[in-house]
Amino acid sequence: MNDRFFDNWSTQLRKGMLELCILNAIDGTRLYGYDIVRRLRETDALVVSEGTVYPILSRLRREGFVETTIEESAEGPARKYYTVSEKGHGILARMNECWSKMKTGTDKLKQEG
Amino acid sequence: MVELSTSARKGLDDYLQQVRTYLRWSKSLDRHEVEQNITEHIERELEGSPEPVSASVLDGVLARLGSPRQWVPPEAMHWWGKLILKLRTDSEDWRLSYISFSLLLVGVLLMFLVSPLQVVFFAGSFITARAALAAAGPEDLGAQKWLLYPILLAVSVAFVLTLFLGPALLAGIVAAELHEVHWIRRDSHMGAIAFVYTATMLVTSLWWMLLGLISCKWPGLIRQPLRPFADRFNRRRGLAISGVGLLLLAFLAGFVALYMNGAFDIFMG
Repeated sequence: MNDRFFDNWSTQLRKGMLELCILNAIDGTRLYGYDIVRRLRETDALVVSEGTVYPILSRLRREGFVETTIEESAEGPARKYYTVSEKGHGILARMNECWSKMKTGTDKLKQEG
Repeated sequence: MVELSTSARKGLDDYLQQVRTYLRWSKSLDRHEVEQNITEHIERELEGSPEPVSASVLDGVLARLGSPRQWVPPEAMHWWGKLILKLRTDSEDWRLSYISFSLLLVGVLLMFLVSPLQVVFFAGSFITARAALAAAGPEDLGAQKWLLYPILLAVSVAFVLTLFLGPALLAGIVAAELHEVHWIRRDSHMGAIAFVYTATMLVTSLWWMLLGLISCKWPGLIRQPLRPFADRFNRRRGLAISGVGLLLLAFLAGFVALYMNGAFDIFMG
């Protein structure tokens, strides 16, 4: 029962955090889709399933929060690189601030408890 | 592109088909972009693997990618996309329920066009509803009953009305015609209304007595067509139908006796 509760909770938390993590991963740089997944994979306990990242990238691009550029690759077909757009920088700043407040608040509650 | 074994190729094709199915109905995704990213991801993951890549190696990559079903949250899908996905991916019995309800809706819409095609759709809806009922069982229908009961109830009511009142209606029509025949009108000593009423009641009472006896002997003849509403129909209820038929007959005999003695002359001339 406890395990199931924890699994559900952590899955929801990861889902909610993934957009923020993707935007942070490509902030100030430009990455190919697979490299974004690899960077997130390096952060333990972040990605529930790796495929989840790609629909989020597509949605963020449609929302205008990320931009793409296509470049030829010596290793195969042309690659699509993602970077945070001007509009994305605005939302990312707000998301990071929101997350900071939540983390500070949670830590404070933990210390006071 | 890395070379895949036959079984791995089939596994990859199935997986990409799932990806397309789930992404097709999303409101906010470019499915070609996602599919391209996924394909490239798989290729990059398989780089360096001994070729042809076996199904087990591919399965490991696909397992890390996860099921496409969890990629698109329900709120990011069109309502009709959710419905079609349910039809394509839910368990067989739910699919039947959705098909049944859809056929019923089409049939109802066709009623406004006065098209005889509606009968085909109602029949299809009823047959699939019964199949869904048989697959799930009435106790395990759960919320499916809201999709299945409208057509089952409509057909059951039509069946009961036809079974119990159909012969009476027929008898009334035939009696009205017969009363026009000179010698019958003369020998019956009855006015048109009394004659039709007597014939209708006589046929109804006799038919209900017979129907009650038949359903008492074979209760399944009532239970089966009326599932799940008549699942508790038993021999006693069959006898009760016969009893009501007998009461009607007794009531009719009283009516005829009173009529012949002129008790209703004031009403029927």
